[in-house]
Order: sequence, then structure tokens, then C-alpha cells
Amino acid sequence: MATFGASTTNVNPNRSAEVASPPSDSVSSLCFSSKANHLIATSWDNQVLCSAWKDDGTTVFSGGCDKQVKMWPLLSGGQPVTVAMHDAPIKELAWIPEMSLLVTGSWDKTLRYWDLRQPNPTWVQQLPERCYALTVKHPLMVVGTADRNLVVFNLQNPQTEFKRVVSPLKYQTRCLAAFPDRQGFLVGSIEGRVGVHHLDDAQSSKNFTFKCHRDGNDIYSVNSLNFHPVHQTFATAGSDGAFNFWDKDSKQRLKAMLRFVTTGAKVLKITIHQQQRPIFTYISPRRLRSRANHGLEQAVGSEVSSYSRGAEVKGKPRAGTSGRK
Amino acid sequence: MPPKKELCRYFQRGSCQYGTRCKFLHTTPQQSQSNPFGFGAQTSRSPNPQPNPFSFGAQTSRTPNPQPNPFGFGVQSSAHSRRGDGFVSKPNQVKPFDNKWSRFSNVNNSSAPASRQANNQPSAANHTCTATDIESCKRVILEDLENEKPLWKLTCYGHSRNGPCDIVGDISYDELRALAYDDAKHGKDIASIVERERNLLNSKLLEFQNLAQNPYPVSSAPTPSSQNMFGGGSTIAPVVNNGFSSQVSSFSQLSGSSNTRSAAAPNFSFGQPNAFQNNTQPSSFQTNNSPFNTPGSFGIQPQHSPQSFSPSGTTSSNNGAISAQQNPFSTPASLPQTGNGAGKQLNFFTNEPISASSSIGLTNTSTQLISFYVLLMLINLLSNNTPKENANVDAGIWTKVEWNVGEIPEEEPPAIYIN
Repeated sequence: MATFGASTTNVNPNRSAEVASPPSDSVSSLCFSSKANHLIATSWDNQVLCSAWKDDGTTVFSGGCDKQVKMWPLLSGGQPVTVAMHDAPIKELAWIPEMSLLVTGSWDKTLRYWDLRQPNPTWVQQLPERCYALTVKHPLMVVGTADRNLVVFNLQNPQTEFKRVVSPLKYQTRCLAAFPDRQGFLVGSIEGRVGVHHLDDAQSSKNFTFKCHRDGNDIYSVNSLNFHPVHQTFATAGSDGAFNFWDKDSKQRLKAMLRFVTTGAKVLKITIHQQQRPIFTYISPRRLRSRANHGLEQAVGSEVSSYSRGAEVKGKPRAGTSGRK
Repeated sequence: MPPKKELCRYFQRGSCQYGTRCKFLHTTPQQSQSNPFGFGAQTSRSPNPQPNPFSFGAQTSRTPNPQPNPFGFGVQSSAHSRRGDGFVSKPNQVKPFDNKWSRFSNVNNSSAPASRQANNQPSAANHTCTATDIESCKRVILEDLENEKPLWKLTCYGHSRNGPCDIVGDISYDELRALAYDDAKHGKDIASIVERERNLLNSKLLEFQNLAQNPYPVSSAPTPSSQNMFGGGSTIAPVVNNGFSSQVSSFSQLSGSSNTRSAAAPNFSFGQPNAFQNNTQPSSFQTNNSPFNTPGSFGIQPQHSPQSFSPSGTTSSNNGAISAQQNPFSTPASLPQTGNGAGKQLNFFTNEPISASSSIGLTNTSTQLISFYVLLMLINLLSNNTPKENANVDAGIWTKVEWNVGEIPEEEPPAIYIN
């Protein structure tokens, strides 16, 4: 795991700053703290797959191929404590502040809720298949599993599935993101397509899918989706080494960031800082080295923070309505 | 001008038996009357662009879309239900291609990826795969498999949105990578890991091939007799036998499920020379003529692969039999071809000499090497048409007691079976 320090040289085309000491293997997840400007990046050198902050900003959770979730108390500098166990590697985890529970999804086809003080899970939820993706925005939680299942939970009643949907996309689910207004969610797959899905049947006419991260005949997967906390826009990151900003209401692409043409670049994860001036962070492994890139608004005035400027990622008004006659 | 000024009430209803002889006026009423067909007809000029619940968007919103939008915005994926499954069923939805948005922003399209064919798959509303619809389903499947092939091959596939999968058996990047790392930790050498992954890939490609050749959507009666035939999914069996017990749970699923969903094809591509002729996809890693003709690092496969699968030689799985037969039938030259493809791969990325990776003492860096390059080699494997795979596509057929019509192979059995 690595926390970032000062920004250093800018070598990538987007002129974003790079983290000083990235992990030695590719980064598997990124997470921003909600309280401070801290970023956690987990990497594959110890096969850590996922991470999350506790909402008080002092503790970090990490889970991975060792089938455990470890809690790292950062302030006291103590040893990590194992708080959760599964039968198979833990793919996703999330901390739910409203319930003070940790939820973990794993390849053993279960979702488990953990109260940190107890060694046994509060609840074990069976999933139809292995968990591949998870998104939580209380009370909405969506779990994406293998074989294109998407299971929606209402966290006010977490023991029953609220809804189970087959993915509107045709291939394997890769990532999920819930709308900030909890009306629905986005699902990204390996086929370079993102689906927008509303939970309410009455709004299902607003469901659609769109293609992205394609290059000629090459179809790259969409690795990560993330919503902007202020504007209702979102970003997608793909294996083609590019990431884009989109507005789902006007169905437009707002900004396309330059692709990493270096060999093997894949934008794997994006995290959007939750505070006032969002920082957008993405990782792209170049060969074996990985960097967490972020635009710092400390370097304000320069183009470093170009993609965190509000104007560029704000939604645009619908272009269609005025032209209808 | 007919003498009477009254309007013909039957004409209003659409059926006046007098026709032109009618003594009443046959014109459409001028004043607004309640039109029983009401909603969509007259609203074409209404200022309200919102779709109303009854119009299927016929006049108002269906504007021809002149240029294909590379992002396919506006293609509706209406949530529909399939009969007979347990998913949420919804009332009849909007028709396909109901593009409510006629204008798309071309603001940032200058840097958009090259526009793909305008072949957005019809988002079939009310998709039920009944006998009448089977043709369109087949078409969808064929189009998908031709045009929309993702670079990651180890995936499930469903031809209809919100419908069940036609091909099951997902493996995600992370799972494959975790598996490779674990294997490396247990001391397996990179070659056998690569071999295992190649087999996974091949069996999955085989499933897709089958679907392409027999695009029979899964919802319509898969015949159980085909399961033994393919054994495509049970290729995982040799994988399991290789002893990473911790990962069995994730992959035994594969062996169980992928048997059931293959297309029902009793006349499976038997003895067809191009059974493994993959639709060559222009991947940036595609190469067949590699400059490295030495067996190099991956040329050690001929010795390793049969060993790694020998415990499972008795299973009826596809690859178990194939690999057992590799030695008698395939020339060793075929393997270095794939090996060289991989070797080239390696070189492409690291600029390190190949010999570096052939040192099989696995350190951390080499596990990292494994992960990336293995994944990329999977893609590279698409371009290889190795004769070994053409020879015995499904060697399990020879051990069957009874043959069904259509699966009788045309070639003679390999010597190993002649007893």
C-alpha cells in the first residue's frame, strides 16, 4: 500500500502529477479518504484486491487473495487486525457508515456483513455467482456477479434481495457505480460498453447503453466507473488507456483524456475525491510499474488540474430538446 | 360537391360502403374531434417532446439517425422479460430503436474512437426467443460474435440484454491473475501456467465457435445429449487436478456450468479442418511469423505439458485427451509456434532477452511477468492455427459407446484407440 506524497514530474500526456513512490506491482484499487487528502492504493505484490476507508478517516480496510480483510489503524501505528474471513479471495469491500458495518464480496459467492467487534459475520448473503463488483450508496447497494447477474439490495432490509436483474450488457460485468441520487446504477463490462440502469420500472425507458473505449475493431474493457460528487457526471476508465467523462442525462461525452500510448497501459481504477474541489485519480500500470496519478489543485493555475475543473466535468444541457419540431 | 353538407359518419369511422357515391361529405373532420386512435397521430407537431405513455414513439421521436454515433447513445435497452425465468418481468416497453434523442453532441467526437459499424444490435423488446423469433436471435448472435468480440475472451455471453447467458463460465482478470500468482508460489513453472491458461482460452473459444456455427439461443431447448460431446467445459478438470486446491471452488463452477449451455449441435464440427480457425481479430499483438525460431523459453512446453495433464488422462475431458494425444500427432514444431508467439510477446513488452524468463526460478518479478504476459498471450493465442487442435477436436468421441446420428466422425480413429 502506498500513500502519496508530493507530486513530482509530469510524464504523461494529461499533465497530471504522479505519486512519488508507487507500489512495485500493479495497483489493484484506489480509495480516497473522506476526511483528509489521503489516498490508499493497494497493489498486487501482496495480492490485495480492494480497499476502503472507514468514515472517520483513521482506519483503512484491505482485502485480497489471502481471503481476509485486515484493518489498519493508521493513527496509532498498530498492527493490522484481521476482521473478516471468506472462503475465497475477497474481491470487493465497502464500509457502510450508516450501518457501521463492513460488507465484503468474494469469489466464494457470498456477501458478508461484519461488525468489527465480532469475529463472525453479522449476516451472510448468498449470491448467485462470484462477486465481481460492488457499489454502495446507502441505502442502495448493487452487486455484480459472474454470468451477468446484478443483484440490488436495499440496505434497510439487507437480508433480502431487492431485485435481481440480468445485466443489460452482453458480456462479463466488470464494474459498477451507483447514481448519487440512488435512482439507479451504471454497469460496465469487458466489451467496451456501459449500461445505465434505473431501478424504478417507471423510469426504465431511460435505460440505455453506450459504447466506449473502442479503437477500430479492438474492444477494450471498461475497468472503472465513478461519479463526480457534485455534478451528476461520471468518468469511465478503460483498458485502452483512456478515460472519459460523460453525462448520462444529456447523453454526451464531456471530455476525453489522452490515452497512454505506452505499452501495456491500462487505466484500471479511478477515484474521485469527495470534497470540495475534486481530485481525480487514476492508475495506469505501465509495464510493471504503476503510478497513481492525480491532479492536485495545489498546483492551481497550471493545467495539472485540468480535468478537475468544474466546467469541464459539469453536465451540459440536453442538446436535443430545442431541436424537436 | 355533394349536395348535403353533412359529414359522412361512416367515413369517419373508416368504412363507408357507398364510397364515392356517398351523398354525405367524405372529408376528414375539420374541427377537433375525439380521435379514437388519438395519441400518436396528431401530436407530431406538439411542442411537448416528452414521450407519452401510449405512443410508441412512432411519429414524434423516431428520427432517422443519419450518422452512426460511435457511442451508440440513445439505443434503448428496454428492460424486458423473458418468459419462464425468474427475473423481474416488466410491462411492454418501448419499441426497439426508439431514439428519443435525435441530436447527439459531436462536441468531443473529434477525438472519438473510430466509429464502428452502425450495427447497433437491435435491442429487442419483449425478447422471448420463441420459435418465430429464433431467426432474429440467431442473427443477433452471429452479428455479435462477428463484430463485438471483446479482447478478453474468458467471458460469459448473452445475446439478449437482460436475458440469461448463452455461454456461461466467466473468468475475470483478477481471478486468472490470482491463480497464476498462486501457482507460481507453489512452484509451478511459467510454462505450465501458460499451458493451463491456453487451454482455458481454447475451450472458451471453442464454446464461442460452437455458438457461432449453431446459433441456437439457449432458451430454446438445449439437448442434453450434446453435453458429453463437447466436454468443452470440463477442460477445467485437468486444471483442477493440477492441485491448486484453494481455487477449486471458483473453477469447479466452470466445469459444472459450461457443459450445459453450449449450443445444441449434434453435428458438431467434427473433422472439419477449420474447427479452430478463429475469426482472426486484428489485435495489436497478433503475429505469426516471429523472428524467434529457436524453441527458446517456451519451447520447453513439449516436455512439460503432457506431464502436467497426465493425471487427468483418463477423464473424458476435451483437453485432457487432446494433450495426451499431442505427442503422437502434433509435431513439436507446432508448439514452438505458439511458444514463439508468446516469446515475441514477452520481448515486445520488456525488451529483455527471452532467456531471462526461461530461468525458471520464480521470483517476485517473474510472477509479475507471468501475470501480465500471460494475459496478453491469451490474446495472442487467437492468431494461432495449430494443426494439433484440428486433428482431435473432441477425442472423447472415440470413447463413446454409442453414437448419435450426426456425430459419427468421418475420419478414422487414432491409433491409440484401435485395439
